[in-house]
Amino acid sequence: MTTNSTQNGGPSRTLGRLLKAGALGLVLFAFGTLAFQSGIWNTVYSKVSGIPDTDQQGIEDQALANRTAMQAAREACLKDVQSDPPPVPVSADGYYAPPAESAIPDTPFGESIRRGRDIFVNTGEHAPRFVGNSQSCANCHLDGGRKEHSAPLWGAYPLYPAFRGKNQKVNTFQDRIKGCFTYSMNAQASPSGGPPPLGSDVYVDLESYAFWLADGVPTGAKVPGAGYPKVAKTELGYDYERGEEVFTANCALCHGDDGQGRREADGRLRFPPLWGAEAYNWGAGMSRINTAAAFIKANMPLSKPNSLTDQEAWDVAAYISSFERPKDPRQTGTVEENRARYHDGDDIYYGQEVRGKILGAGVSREQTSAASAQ
Amino acid sequence: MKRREKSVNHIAQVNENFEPWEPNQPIPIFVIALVFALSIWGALTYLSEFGTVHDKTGPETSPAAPSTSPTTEAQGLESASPEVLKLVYSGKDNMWSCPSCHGAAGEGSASTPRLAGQVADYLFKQLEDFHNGSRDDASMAYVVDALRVDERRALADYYAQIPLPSGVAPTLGGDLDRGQILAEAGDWEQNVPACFQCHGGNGEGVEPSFPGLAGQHPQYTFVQLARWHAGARGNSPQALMDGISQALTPNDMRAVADYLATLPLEPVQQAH
Ligand code: HEC
Ligand code: HEC
Ligand code: HEC
Ligand code: HEC
Repeated sequence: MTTNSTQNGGPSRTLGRLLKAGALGLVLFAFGTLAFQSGIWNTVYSKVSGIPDTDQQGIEDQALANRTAMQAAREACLKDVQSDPPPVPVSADGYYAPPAESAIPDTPFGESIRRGRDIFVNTGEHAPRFVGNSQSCANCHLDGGRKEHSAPLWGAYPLYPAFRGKNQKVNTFQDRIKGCFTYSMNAQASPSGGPPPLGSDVYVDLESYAFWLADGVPTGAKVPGAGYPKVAKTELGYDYERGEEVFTANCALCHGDDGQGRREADGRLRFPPLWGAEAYNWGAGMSRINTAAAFIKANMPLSKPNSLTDQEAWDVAAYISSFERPKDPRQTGTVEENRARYHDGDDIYYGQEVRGKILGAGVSREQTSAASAQ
Repeated sequence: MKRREKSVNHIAQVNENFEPWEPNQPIPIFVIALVFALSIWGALTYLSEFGTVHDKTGPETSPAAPSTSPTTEAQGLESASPEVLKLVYSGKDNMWSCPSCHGAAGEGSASTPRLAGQVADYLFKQLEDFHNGSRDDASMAYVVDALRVDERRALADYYAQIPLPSGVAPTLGGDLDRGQILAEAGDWEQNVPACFQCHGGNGEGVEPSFPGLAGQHPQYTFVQLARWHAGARGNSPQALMDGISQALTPNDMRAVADYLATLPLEPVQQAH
């Protein structure tokens, strides 16, 4: 090295080289920083790693462009009914793309949409008179009723009015939501003692929200992602005892070992209870094992949809349905009579013996607080 | 002119069949340049971290930023048995004391996490995870291996009961609007629920498994997300954070880490 450096020109030469190197270092550094900040790095990284570069702006822009195309086609239709029908706005993952929350208009109608959204997301706070448990609409219709495969509002709204077997008559959208208040929200135990009467502002606001979310789905059209996707029956059938293991391993973290959900330190509910007095009642769709399995497979554990096998989904659905919950509000006579009348042939433990007890008598908040006071 | 002569001489000595360049020059320049780049980068990083640790008055984005030191603001610093306090402040055997890295009130700094007010069972689980190796960190493994399990429990409980206002502000240049969307609404198209759905309505944590995120140092939050993203932290129950972090881009991580640092830490109203 020493011979080398004398050969190459001694200290002054070395200093010069050092300076040059320093300058080059700076340039390299600046170049690297610029390259990183320009976003090239992310793009290359996502190409090489296969992890998608989720450019939120890009996704929103695409959905927005789709909506703009829809508006343009609508205007074309005004001049000529025969022109191409407006396209359905579709998101990057191939499902209908509801409008962004920021697009709620600042009009009296927009106010109603916002109220509807608030009721939907935090029902106990915004419609307290009609809620008899610790549930919100959005607990079962995820992402504020936007998420595909969790019975999104945009999948339901265009399909009403419709004839429903559950009550043997033509139901309006209001009737449909009334059903969810009656059963899923257990309105019988609410301060008002029942669901909001038809025509109530609660329904109007929820309808505004649903209409706005569904603005783009053709009336009467059933689109992909609506409802809960059915889970195929398995050879083994369902078994609540097998389901207990699935529950402990996958669900108790959030819903608690006792299924009573979890609250924050200030008492606000964070994870909903799945059975007991604070859950949906025996008349709710979710208390049927097939419906619960469908919801669970597509939505639970939260953030990991479709991670359970069909068998696990059936078993864990059976497990959460094997405990008492508030009584079926339609029951007038005995549980047996009510079972024959409303639950015959359903996948449900209502009126059956589980762990040595006939299920269906129901639990109420009074019973629960009396039991815990003892 | 001298230089030219030298190089002419030099070339004259070189085998004519050989490629006519100075063989030892390009590589040293490149290496020196790299060393320079690295040291400049190192210095800048040091300066920026140094800045955030000591510049407690700085951030305009957080009007509640404390002007006093964490130790005067924290409560409950002495509420533990003498043995536990000794463990905290003096360490044990060769073990370093916790405040030597986590700060006098457990307030943390840069990529050393704040412990004050964190969910107790979560802290305990982390100490166990450092101990059994499912969470990988050389300094914490060293510290934790010197402790008995009851000492780990006592230390977790000690730090959990220290209420301390948030002393942090965004430092990563993240997009705060995007961060707010991720924290409050999530990005369901990527199966990312709102952070608050698991970490509590104000990011203050949910007993027993979900740590608080509000008031945590944004660098630390970012590093943890990046570790999950890269598969370098593997102790999340049900691999929940693995999936969520893998769906986030580096920009998303910066955005949400910075947004969480803007949140005030409200004293908890106990449920009755
Ligand atoms: C305990 C869970 C639960 C809660 C809480 C709940 N629902 Fe439902 N909801 C369901 C189930 C189950 C269905 C039936 C979906 C199916 O069978 O595809 C349903 C169906 C619906 C439908 C029709 C969906 C369709 O695709 O036909 C609407 C609209 C609806 N709910 C609105 C609401 C509203 C509004 C609230 C709050 C007042 C609410 N739900 C609360 C579980 C729930
Ligand atoms: C990471 C936390 C988490 C895990 C793990 C989890 N859930 Fe949930 N679950 C939630 C949250 C949060 C909701 C409410 C959804 C919302 O509000 O967005 C929910 C809602 C539900 C509901 C809707 C009914 C109701 O009472 O509101 C059912 C049923 C359910 N979960 C079952 C399960 C089952 C079964 C498992 C295990 C396979 C499971 N969950 C695992 C967080 C979780
Ligand atoms: C040598 C410095 C050092 C010392 C001493 C030290 N820690 Fe840590 N600690 C760290 C670092 C760095 C991390 C973050 C590790 C990572 O990035 O995964 C950490 C993480 C933690 C965590 C996880 C926090 C979280 O939010 O996940 C806990 C708990 C913890 N330390 C407790 C302690 C306790 C208790 C002591 C004293 C017995 C202690 N530490 C001493 C450096 C230290
Ligand atoms: C489905 C539930 C869930 C959601 C949603 C969630 N997290 Fe977590 N997160 C967890 C759990 C559980 C842990 C505890 C991991 C452990 O015990 O090691 C955790 C831990 C963390 C930690 C480590 C904290 C520490 O002190 O080391 C960070 C940081 C974090 N989450 C950030 C986020 C961010 C940011 C979001 C939103 C983009 C988010 N999380 C959404 C469940 C969730």
